[in-house]
Amino acid sequence: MDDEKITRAYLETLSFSDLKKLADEYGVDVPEDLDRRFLLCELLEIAEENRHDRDAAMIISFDNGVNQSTNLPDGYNETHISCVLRNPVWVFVFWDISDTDMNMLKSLPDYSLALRVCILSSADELSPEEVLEIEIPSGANEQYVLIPAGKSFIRIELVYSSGSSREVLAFSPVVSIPKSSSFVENYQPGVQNDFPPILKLSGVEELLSDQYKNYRHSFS
Amino acid sequence: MIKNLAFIIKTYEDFIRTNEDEIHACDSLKLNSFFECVSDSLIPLLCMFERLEADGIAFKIGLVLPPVLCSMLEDEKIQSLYVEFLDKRIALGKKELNRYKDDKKAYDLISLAVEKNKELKKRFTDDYNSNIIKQFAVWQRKGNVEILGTCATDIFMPYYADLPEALSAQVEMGLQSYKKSFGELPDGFFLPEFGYTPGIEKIIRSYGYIYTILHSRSVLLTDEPPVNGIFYPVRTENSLGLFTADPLIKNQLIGEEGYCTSSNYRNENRDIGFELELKKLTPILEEKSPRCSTGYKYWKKDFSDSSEASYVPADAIAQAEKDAESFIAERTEYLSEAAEYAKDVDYVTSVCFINESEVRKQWSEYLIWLEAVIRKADAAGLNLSLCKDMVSKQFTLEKITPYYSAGTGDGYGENLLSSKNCWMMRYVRKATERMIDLAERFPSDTGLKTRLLNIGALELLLAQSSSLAKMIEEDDDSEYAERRFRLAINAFTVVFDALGSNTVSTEWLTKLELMDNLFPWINYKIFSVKK
Repeated sequence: MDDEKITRAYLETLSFSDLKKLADEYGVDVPEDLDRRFLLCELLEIAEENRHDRDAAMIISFDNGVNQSTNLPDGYNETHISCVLRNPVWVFVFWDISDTDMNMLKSLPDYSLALRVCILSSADELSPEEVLEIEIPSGANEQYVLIPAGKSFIRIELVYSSGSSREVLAFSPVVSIPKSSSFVENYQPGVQNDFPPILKLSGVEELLSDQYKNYRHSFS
Repeated sequence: MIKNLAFIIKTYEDFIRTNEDEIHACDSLKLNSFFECVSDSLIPLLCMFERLEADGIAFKIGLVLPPVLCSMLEDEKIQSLYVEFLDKRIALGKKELNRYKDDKKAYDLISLAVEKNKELKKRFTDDYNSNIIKQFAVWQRKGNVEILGTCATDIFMPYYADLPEALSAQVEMGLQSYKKSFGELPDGFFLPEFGYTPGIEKIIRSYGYIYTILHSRSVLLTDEPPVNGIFYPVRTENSLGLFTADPLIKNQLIGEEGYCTSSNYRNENRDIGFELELKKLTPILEEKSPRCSTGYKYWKKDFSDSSEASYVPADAIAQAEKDAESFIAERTEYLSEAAEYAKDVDYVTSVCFINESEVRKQWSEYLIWLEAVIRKADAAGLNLSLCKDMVSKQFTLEKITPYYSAGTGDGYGENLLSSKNCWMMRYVRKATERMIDLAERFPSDTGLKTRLLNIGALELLLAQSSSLAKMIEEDDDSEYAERRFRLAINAFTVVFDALGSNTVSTEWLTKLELMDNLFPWINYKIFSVKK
């Protein structure tokens, strides 16, 4: 049915069974007790929606074919830095620099890029209590960063410096570093721990030893 | 005190495109491996259930049948390809019978394999009407099986902790898929790769789940570890029940000295598919085909035995019985000791988690072993249980604050973000951010835009699958994984650009919908910000 024909005047001419047929055509579920007036309104609304959709319809292109490419873009042309916690000791940091920012950097006499690890006292703290800087090798766009021991919140900033100027290009959201229990942090291999037998049977000592072996850095 | 054994078997197979004009070589290898999961685990599991029921054994077992697996097994094209797969195996078996007509030992071994394939075909087509997912639903209704829900794809949730919409979308799609496949809603949620980070419990709980299972690191490395260790469920602050996967099981089964290493078991790495000339492997392999396993494996794990067909099925069955006895004895002692130390509880439990593909690929007899364990458990005073039956007193359980951890890598999922696969992160995170944005920008669209948004959402769910990163890291089907990831990200990017430019190729869209035909009922609004 042409949506243009669906007007109140036209619908009024139809029998209830014809209206139900039309509703079927439009995929409207008609409950047993639905009255004619309500059905008529439903149909008018759908027809109006369809007209609106058609107006806002997309342009259909025929030249795109089926893109089966497996090449990924080099970047998204934006200046952006993100980080994902890899484990309690390392965070994976990756960034992009937009063409505009890159051109600006290249126009500077002598520029260098660095990651600034900002240690924060809380998740909503803006000014860092401690800052560490890591130089970025030329052309890099990702790096694993060692998390300073015993810290709870970090933010990573992508900064550039040229001569005496130093600016932040982008900064990541705050990453919360999960805190393990005090007995994990105080664990020393070879030192007897006073765990209840059921925890020993659960394998807590093996876990601690494993944790110490792999993440010693996170111990105080 | 009651001593419970709760088995949970998780199967997972990745999405495979079968609707292309010609199935890509990578997908065809993966399809072979998927059908081996059906032949060597899923149908044998159903047969095992039938035997146990016939013998009056009151068994209980937990299963994780992820949405991608269910969706593929419900696909008619895949169902017919599976029958084709069995026919080819039967045909190759007949050729092998001819090759070994003068070697009785090998001939008998091949006959067994041919008969097994014929029986599988009969079961699949006649008994199960080509839909084995429905059969699992039947066992769940009978109360013997509990099927846990999980995410739409095996996303590693901690990497998206700052994007809760992405996690909700995965959980919601998993739940919708579960309802469609099994006709009810699950109690238990399987956390992909046991990847836990604080906050995830809020999302899981908001979808009505009662419990999940964590790695022991999450439960024990907390400020106040549970009074009863890993032997009794606990709960989070918002009362999501928590079980702990028994940390000893994996080693016991497939560790360096695990049961699977017995020289009586079949050598899974030696298969005629990797040994014979290609022309002898038709119709499974054609000229220039990439090699794959054919299921015809004649050798046992005893590498000192160089005979043509060293594998003796009867010896393997006897070994599985022996290993089952050893397992039962060891578990009984372990749980008895736990019962001695446990405080204020009426049972102790060991949650035995089995990753089906990991175990099957090293130990094809693992289900013979499992059936023997189930048959022997009762006599040893071990009670087979379902997790859902053990969390009935959910609101009285001890509360803990679990620690962030995972069951893969060195304890935190490091293998999913290594120097080999970390390049994926920038693309999948970007696509995720964009999808959340699109769901907000197009809150109630219809027609072509909806189709675009839906296929974009599906491609993103596929790209978020952590098994792709794992395959690349382990160099196991890495070509498939890389291709699958790139196709998904590129398809998503085309969707994003099409919505931006308001231009779409309907030919591209229709073909993609046909090729990536998972979850046809997907609604992109799952990525909306929850109000």
